[in-house]
Amino acid sequence: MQRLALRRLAPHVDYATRTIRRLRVIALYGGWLPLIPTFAAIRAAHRSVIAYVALGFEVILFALFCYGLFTLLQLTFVNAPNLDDALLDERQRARRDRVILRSYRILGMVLCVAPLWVMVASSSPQWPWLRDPDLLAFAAWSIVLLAMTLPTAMLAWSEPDDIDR
Amino acid sequence: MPTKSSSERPIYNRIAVLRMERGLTRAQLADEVDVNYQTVGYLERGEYNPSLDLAFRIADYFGVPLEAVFSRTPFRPMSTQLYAPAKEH
Repeated sequence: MQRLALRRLAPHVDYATRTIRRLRVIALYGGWLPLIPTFAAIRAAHRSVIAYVALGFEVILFALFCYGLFTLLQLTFVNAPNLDDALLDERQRARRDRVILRSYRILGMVLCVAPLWVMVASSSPQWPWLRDPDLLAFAAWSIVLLAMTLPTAMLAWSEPDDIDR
Repeated sequence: MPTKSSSERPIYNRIAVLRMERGLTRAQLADEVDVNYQTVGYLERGEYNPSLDLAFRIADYFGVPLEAVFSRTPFRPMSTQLYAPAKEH
């Protein structure tokens, strides 16, 4: 009944198998993290064969990232729109709340790195890459991405398969 | 099975036995007590402690008192409980 209600109100919610869900999490973060190094390689190689190879790799990474992002955000009950508390049972609500709490803690720890980064970057002229605007923008977007996806990713990673039927 | 999250004061339950006695799947029991079927699995494995409301719903559905489903001490096997007194006579 609960599952049918879920299907009716949020037909796009796809639980998938845990393996598929984990692959989506890996695609999301695994596609995102190498984007900047690959982009730097493209710029450094400047219209050589390596640049085109890196560009192809970048396109693949970006496609992986988009696949991970769009499938993951529709995946679990954390981010499912139109899904109010009444559609979740008490364990699911408890899990959602715990996962959100844990995500805030992780995000808080990540944000603690920002002042350290500024301190090291401003006092270490031998590491100019720490002040690279591309890298800073990437770090900022990474935090946004993490804030947006971490609860769902944690839930998608850990919710069991449909074997309990 | 004791609850892992509260191993110091575990709550044991007999949901799996009662469900199997009645020939129900986890999904069917879940529908009856209005929870997700995975939650029934969590309950049976002792990985989740139900609220008092859910505990009463489960006991009511099986038509037994709450203490027949949940206990602070491990349950004796049903067969022992059923046949042990007969042996004593």
